[in-house]
Amino acid sequence: MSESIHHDKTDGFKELESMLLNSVNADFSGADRDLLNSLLRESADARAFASELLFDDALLADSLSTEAAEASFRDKASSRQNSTVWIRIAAVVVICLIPLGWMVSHQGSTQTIETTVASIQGTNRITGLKHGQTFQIGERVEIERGRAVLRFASGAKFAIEAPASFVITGPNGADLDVGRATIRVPGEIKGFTLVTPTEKIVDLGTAFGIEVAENGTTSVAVFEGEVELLGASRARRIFAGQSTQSTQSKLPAQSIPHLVDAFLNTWETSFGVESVRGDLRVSRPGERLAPGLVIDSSSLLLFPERENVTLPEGYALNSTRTGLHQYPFRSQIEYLTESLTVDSYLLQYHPGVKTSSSKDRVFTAELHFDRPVVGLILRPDQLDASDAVLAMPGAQLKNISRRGINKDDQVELSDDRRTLYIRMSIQDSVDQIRVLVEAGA
Amino acid sequence: MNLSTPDNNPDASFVSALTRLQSRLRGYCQAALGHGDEAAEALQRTNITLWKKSEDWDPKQDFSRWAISIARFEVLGVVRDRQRTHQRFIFDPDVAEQMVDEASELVTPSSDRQEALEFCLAKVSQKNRDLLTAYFVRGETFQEIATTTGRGLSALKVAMMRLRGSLRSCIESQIGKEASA
Repeated sequence: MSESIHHDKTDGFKELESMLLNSVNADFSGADRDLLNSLLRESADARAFASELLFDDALLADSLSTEAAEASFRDKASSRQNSTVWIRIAAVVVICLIPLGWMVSHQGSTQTIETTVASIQGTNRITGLKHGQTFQIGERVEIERGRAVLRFASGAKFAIEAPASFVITGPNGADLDVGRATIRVPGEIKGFTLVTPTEKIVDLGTAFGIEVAENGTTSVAVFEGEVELLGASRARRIFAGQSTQSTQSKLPAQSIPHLVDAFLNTWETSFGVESVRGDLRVSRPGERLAPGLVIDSSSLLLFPERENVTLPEGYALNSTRTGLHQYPFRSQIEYLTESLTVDSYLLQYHPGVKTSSSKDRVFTAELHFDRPVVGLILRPDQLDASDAVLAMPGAQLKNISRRGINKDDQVELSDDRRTLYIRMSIQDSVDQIRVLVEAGA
Repeated sequence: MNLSTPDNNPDASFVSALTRLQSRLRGYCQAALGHGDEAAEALQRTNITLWKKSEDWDPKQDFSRWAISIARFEVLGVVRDRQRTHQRFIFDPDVAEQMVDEASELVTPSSDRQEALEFCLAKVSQKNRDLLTAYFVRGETFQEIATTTGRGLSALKVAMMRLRGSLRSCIESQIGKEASA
């Protein structure tokens, strides 16, 4: 095609081009569609022009998304350690296409690409699945009882409770047919995609809850960050504190009251907390980001903090040992002999206003993690010193005095390192300790 | 969507050929079915069928021709399925069938639009790349892009049309140069 002829054709098809560009937008009417089809039906030149335009758009989208993915992975590779599996998969699977990635990942011994794209990090009273079990693209997972948290190769955490049925569609996505789940996508990772019978949800750096009923109705509650809904012809973003419900694909999701209680179990599980007993609860969505502002005089609170933090060799903790830890802690300082990647949790009692009562109140609790506890920070000075790397940004801890635990407090770590027994004798002041758990693989 | 695990295990030359053809297969499906998820569904089906039929492919045979014949079948399958369930999409079934024929003309290896496009894309400013990425990769509507960027809706649409016009001219020019070289 010569350039002059091309320009002639293009000039005659401005309206056609405009319609093709607008064809996926919600304001593209039935009349617009009829006109578009009529133009194409009647003119071979129009069809040639339109097909060329659409073909180029696909190539353009591929080029731009490959560029974006490569840039994202370059950034991630330079900022994160222990991401070998994800990078290896990403190089072929994510930058290209999920279906093709699935094919490539099933190659024989000549390929070096990992086939596993998700694994079970933790379980709670579950049947049929076990800790460490791995999954490949295309595998369907059915859960009849209990809860599980899957860690995707991308780093996304997918905590789901029975009854549930879903298919792993890639290292950063799944098709959820039925079930209730919390999805958390920590750090710089974005783009986790969940497809349900009535909605398509894309994470934009976030934590959100989702429930898919038997009839496909999909409810989404955003806890942190934002997500994009792509199920209707027009995309919609929803933000922390907002909830929607989608009853039919292609129809826009409706706003509903933001109720999070239904998701608290999976929210807890998503942080690797298998169970809590006694006078302890895990902070709710919204509370997690600013523990210094959360007042609760009736129980201890556990705030999941930063994840996948690599502490360098020589980093000082109060203890890495199992057994009983109690006052005084002066002699209990240990230094890491090698770097360690951890998830951090702040355990806090914060009653708010001081009362005149000087009587101690005793709180006891048991806390079970799905991975081993590798260290404890118990002293106020070390809590202060570790805030910069382990506390959530904006945690509002500056004005809290008397951190750490006191004379009559006890913390015991079980031999298998997964259970903490806590006994805190508290007057009306703040107590805090930090628990470091081995980051998931 | 539930992908079953394939029993066969195609050799490296098949995977390599399929990888190289992905962009053009996507372009083929989109050219036939328009923007929207029908094209993605057709590509998904095509990849799965190609994988299942990998043993039928003779490496001495032109892979793209063989793959496109399968893609054509899958595109028309999507049209038929949607028709059966009375779902309307961008192109009416008779138009989609005509568009399939047009699309076939674009996939031949001699007209390598991908290379030309990448050459031309490299000349686009970052601001315009951001606009293209927002629309074509993230799937944002013009209204959303206008809100995010603070640009007027009409100005944005005009800018997109101009940008695509420039890219199109550049691609045609590149392909013309390659053909005459």
